[in-house]
Amino acid sequence: MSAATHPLLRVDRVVKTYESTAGPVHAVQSLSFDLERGAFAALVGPSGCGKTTLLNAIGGLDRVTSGQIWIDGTEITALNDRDTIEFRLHRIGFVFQAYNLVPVLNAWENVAFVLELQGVGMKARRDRAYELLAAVGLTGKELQRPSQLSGGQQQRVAVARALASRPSLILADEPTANLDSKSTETLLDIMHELNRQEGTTFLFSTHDQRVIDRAEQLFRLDDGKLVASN
Amino acid sequence: MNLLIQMAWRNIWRSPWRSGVVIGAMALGVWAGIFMMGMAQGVNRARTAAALDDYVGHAQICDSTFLENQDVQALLAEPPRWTAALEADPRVESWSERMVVTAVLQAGAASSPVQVLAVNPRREASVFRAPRTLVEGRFSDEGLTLGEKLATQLGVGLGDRVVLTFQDVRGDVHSSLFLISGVYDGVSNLVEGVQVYAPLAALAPEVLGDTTQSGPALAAHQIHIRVRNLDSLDAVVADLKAGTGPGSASIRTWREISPDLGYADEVLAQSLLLFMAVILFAMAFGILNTMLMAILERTRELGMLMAVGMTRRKVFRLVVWETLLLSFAGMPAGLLLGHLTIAVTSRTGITLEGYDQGLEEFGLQSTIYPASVPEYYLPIALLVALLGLLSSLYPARKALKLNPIESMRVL
Repeated sequence: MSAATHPLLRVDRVVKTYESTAGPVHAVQSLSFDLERGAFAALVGPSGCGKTTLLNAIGGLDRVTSGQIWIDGTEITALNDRDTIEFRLHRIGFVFQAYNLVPVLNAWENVAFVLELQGVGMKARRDRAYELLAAVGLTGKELQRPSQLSGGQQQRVAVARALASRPSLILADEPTANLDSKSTETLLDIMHELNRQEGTTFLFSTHDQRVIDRAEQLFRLDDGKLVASN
Repeated sequence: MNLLIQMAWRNIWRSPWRSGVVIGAMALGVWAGIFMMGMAQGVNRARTAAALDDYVGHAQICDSTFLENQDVQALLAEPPRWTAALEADPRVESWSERMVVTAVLQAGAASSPVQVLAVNPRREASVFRAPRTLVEGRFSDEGLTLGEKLATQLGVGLGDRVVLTFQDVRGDVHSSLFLISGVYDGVSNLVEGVQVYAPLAALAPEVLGDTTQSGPALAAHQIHIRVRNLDSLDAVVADLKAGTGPGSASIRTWREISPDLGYADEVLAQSLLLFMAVILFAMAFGILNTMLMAILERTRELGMLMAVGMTRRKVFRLVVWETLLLSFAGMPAGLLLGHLTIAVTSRTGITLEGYDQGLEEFGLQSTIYPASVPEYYLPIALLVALLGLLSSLYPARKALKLNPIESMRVL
């Protein structure tokens, strides 16, 4: 698949079935969709509809039962563990519901952490981290540890971390679930701005109406199936 | 500094109390180990010094055939050649010539086989603390000095007459009458029951079978040497060998004369390291437990690290670094404390009240002076590293097996 002529993300007949004591659970059922480069999209639907499962599969955190997922011309579902981690490190950014910052690292170190894993030099990663923290409105907070930041500020650091390696795709799993309205609006403004300025593709999983209202493309899931998209 | 190492170091201090306890325990363990090593080394050095002072000496010259059979005929050739060289060497503190004769000591109807050390008392006392403790009389040219046990066994005391019967170098049997001028308390009962000091000036002509001769150093089986500084001993011996040419003589240092003392050093060194290893091995379980708890508590975080692109190998290394740093954190303090404790107690000494008699049996005093043991610091550091590494493997393996998604579900 050529990156130039194909969508950034292609989800093709993806099935994810879990085995449980009560029998198989069909979390995602033959689900397909494409996402264009530069999109600001959301997977929406009620709890348990398969949003997070699908997001994890797209991010290579979980294996699909069948089907294919292509990102930027690479079939991530065909990669082995090592290559998946490598791909994730360079091409995918994650924003989690619970921020998931490293508590012993300060704000700029958290952002630069991914770059350190990539082997980027000290000065380059510090410059990039400070630049991103400025972009998410955290100038002056670079040396603060997560415990010294508010929830909204922590999530902005998480967004900066997700952007650090200039990934093709940012996956954000319920990023606003733990935030108040003001922080949510601020965060969404920042992400939308970054989407517009840097052309970074965002895919949210959410049932937060404020996110849904800002998303430019929606994929509505129910019971593991895609029931609507616009 | 590598971010992984920085993270590992900071992670240790996430639970300051828990890590503090482990680090404190490690410091305490290392301190205790170092101090015990210093004590044991001090005891061993004191024991060796006592043995050298009491009966081994620093070095010895004798005819090589004397080493094989202790025959009375195995006299050292040209003793003055050696004594002149010893006198000329400023590193030599003193020397003492000896004749060693196997004899029978008779007192009335009682008799006992003895080993007679015919010595010049003044010179003998300059090389050895000999005879170690005089209970009665004097150590002099006037008569025999025998051990307390032998005196009791023969039922004799100061001023009593005894007859010494022995074979001279020509094979003739001599019997000489002596007065008992001193009774000593020896290093051990065995020595006390067998060893008898006799005046060399009086006994030498008898042993040589030529009573017309007299004077010191005419003949000797051994010359014992005491140097001012033991560190110079090997050089002194080497120079003696080179300067005079050993001929049929054998020149031996205390390590060759009494290899058991040298072995004791080696055995002690190994035992002390083993002792330290046992202490550290016990500590390793504490470290392992702490790290397992840390991994359990940070399952979610480790899952996230893997989710954002940290390889399993790096997660493994993070845990190994953390364990190593935790293991190492207490070691410098333990080493420093141990070093300082020994530095102080090596001057003041530690008196073991109530053990006086037992220690004296080994020629030791009741005050022990611990010896500094810097030669053990590197092996201890390596042991800590090894055990830190070993105790990191299980927690690191646990971390390695984490699944990012399942880990991030952990609350």
